[in-house]
Amino acid sequence: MGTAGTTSATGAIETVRALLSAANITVSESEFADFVQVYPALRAQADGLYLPELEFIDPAIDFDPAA
Amino acid sequence: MPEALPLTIKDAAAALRAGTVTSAELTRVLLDKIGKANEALGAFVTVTEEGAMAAAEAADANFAAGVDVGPLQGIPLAVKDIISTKDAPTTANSRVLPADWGKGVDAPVVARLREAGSVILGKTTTSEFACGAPDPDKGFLIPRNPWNTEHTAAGSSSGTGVAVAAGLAFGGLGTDTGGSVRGPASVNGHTGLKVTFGRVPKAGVVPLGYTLDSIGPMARSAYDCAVMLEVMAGYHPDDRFAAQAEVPAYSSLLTGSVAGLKIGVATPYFFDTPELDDEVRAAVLAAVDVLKGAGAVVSEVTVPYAKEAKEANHITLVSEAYAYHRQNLIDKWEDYGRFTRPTLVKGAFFTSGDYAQAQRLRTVFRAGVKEVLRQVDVIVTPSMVRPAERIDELDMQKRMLGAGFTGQWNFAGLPAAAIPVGFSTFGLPLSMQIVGGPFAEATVLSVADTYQQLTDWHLQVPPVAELVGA
Repeated sequence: MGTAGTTSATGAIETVRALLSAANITVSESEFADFVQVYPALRAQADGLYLPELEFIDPAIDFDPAA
Repeated sequence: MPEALPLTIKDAAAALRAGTVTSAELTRVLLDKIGKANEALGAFVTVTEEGAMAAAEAADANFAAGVDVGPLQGIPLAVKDIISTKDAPTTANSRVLPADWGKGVDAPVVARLREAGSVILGKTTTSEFACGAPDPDKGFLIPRNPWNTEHTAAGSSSGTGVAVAAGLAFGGLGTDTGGSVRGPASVNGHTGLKVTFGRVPKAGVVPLGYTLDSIGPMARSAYDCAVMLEVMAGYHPDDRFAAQAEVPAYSSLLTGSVAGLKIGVATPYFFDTPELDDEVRAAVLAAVDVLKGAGAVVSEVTVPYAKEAKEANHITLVSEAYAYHRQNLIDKWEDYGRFTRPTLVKGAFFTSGDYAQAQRLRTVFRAGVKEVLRQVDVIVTPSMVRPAERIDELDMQKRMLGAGFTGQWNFAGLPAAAIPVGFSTFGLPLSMQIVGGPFAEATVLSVADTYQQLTDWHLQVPPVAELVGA
């Protein structure tokens, strides 16, 4: 289990460019800049879910609200 | 025809049976109001005038023949425009969705409303594909808050929220993946219920988050939502998530009492986040005091992982939505609205591991909430962090990254109602959220109904008389 990491400004530019490229999506310069700005916060949100206490927890893939 | 129109489904149903008004008269008046106000309020994408009048006349003919199929007979309602109907296109407020989406067939929930005798007035505005915010360049009307048209009507079930608040429909359908029924109900000042996942079949709805989406009733009162839900709920084979659970007679389970009922005020996160507006906090706590005065037993509770659950709901939502939209995002990026495409593409920014991890958090979040709901009957929170923002100050990034109180309950799959509890200094509605256990819609609505029997916030009418020509 890892802990939340940080994404540098340069890292965010490279990562967002790579992710959009892999997704085959072309965006405007201003949209790209917005994504670069927000990406570290998004990554931190996801990283924040890798909590140590979830180590032995199964995912709720087969979803049943009454379970 | 009475001088003042009934405000609620309950009152309209009584008036129809008393013979003081006909469904055709009600429907005609609402259609006229929509005609006058829609440009300014942006509530409807399509108005189905011909079908509505025909349904109203059929309802009146049934009344005349002594046929009464229930409290929705002859009641004009609205349908969010991501739900398919046989008599109107489904646009999802998008230039991307194929024109024949839904193939002119009623979604099961719409078919049930029609079978119950209701009158479908038309299709209401949604945020494009039930996410993002309106883009004025795409040619759809911008939904506006009837309490102050410079402010947002929230989303994504914006049009239904506006229609109910402004008296253009007695109720309607919304969908909720992260708060899209409760947000518009909150900021427009009426009641909205996000149902237990699977309670209402969602076949015939353009998907957003496959494991989060639900269809919910929106109306002035909890009683009206109960009457609608009785018709809407129940298993349907076209929705693989539809629950086989029995459908109670919700409206008959509204006891009008909360004596002895245990209410948990979810203080950490929901009431102590610095982002929470002071007037929202005060109004919700005052509402809790009303319930306490009516005999409820109030205690503070802690909902574990509240912040993480909100964020995991977002990751789940955009990941599932991205799966649906991926090819169109590649092919038709510019055709999506300017606020929709950046939301949807965020699904490409998370990994498959992130998605699976969100579902692991879902396991522990649901278990944690279940434990809280062993101690109390319902959990109370503010519905929204703040009153409706100005449209020109809407900041989707801030909303996505900031605190939020609704997505947690989609993540847990639980029912949650938003009800009006007052107004801000600037005259904008404030709202409380009531959350219950799985399939405990009756309990949630009963608490809301009890509060509404003691207060009249839900009956306040926005200052739109000039707009609607009333």
